[in-house]
Amino acid sequence: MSTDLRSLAGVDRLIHEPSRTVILAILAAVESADFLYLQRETGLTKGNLSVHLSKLEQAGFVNIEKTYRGKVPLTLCRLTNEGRKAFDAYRKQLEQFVENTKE
Amino acid sequence: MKDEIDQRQMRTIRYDYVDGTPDLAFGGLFLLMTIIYAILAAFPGLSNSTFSSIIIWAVFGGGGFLIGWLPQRLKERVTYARTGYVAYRRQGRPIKPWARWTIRIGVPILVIVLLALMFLNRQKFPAQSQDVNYLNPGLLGIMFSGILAMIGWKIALPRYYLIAAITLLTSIVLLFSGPGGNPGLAMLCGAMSLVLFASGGITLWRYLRRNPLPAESPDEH
Repeated sequence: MSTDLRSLAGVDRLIHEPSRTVILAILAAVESADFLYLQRETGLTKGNLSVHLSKLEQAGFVNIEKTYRGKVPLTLCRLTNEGRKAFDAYRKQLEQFVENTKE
Repeated sequence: MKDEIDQRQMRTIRYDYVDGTPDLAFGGLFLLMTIIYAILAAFPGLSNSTFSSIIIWAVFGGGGFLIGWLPQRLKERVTYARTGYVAYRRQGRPIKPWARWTIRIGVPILVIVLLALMFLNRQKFPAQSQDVNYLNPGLLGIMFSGILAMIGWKIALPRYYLIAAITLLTSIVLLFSGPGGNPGLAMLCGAMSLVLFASGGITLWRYLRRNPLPAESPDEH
């Protein structure tokens, strides 16, 4: 296996799934986002988004808080410090892979 | 994948501007400034009073508060229910609420007091050239257009380039053939207020058309 491919093989598999990568990319750019925003941006169904968020929460990457805004229920999702570090590392690995393949 | 991550993050950052509420808030601020400068232009005697300096800086202080408060209230009523809620990260170290409020109230008061003191003791400062006032509206407009173009570039929203171009055009006209001083400033702020209200209004209208309220509760996670 070449060095390029080996660097890609080392990426976090939990993050390296398109839907979860998008969820983490969105959450990395903000303080927090609600379920509706994530659903619209990812284009996932409620069920699918729920499953992906649960997996990320179990891994300790995402913190999910159920709250209210007025009388409307609100599910707020935010990246944990661990999640932010993991996503930054994943991003660096991707960038490194892209750089290596250019050479 | 890397490009898609960048695009998704840019879309999320741009979401704050998608409903036109920042344009409306800035339009409101420039409308306030237009009114103040129009009053000062209509009553030239007021221009040299401490009162006018205090009013102008109070408008700037109050306007700063308006820019923070108004879009948030509009978003709570209009945007969050339709396309979701996003809270943005504050850069730098976190600041406690009491410290934030001290800065918000303390800084404008300090500026007003300093300006009032400077104005009351203006004889002690070197004579100010009246000619500079003639250039003020044009120069200020060029500065505003630069800021708007920078915002447009930072969030990749073409409408801010258009607002910047109109502001620049108004500034050039004012620089070469418009009235200077307060009448010129009133014209500049009026033009900017109109453009920002038009931009915010059209953006909000398009946003509401594209995003009707969801029929059911969206939050079933």
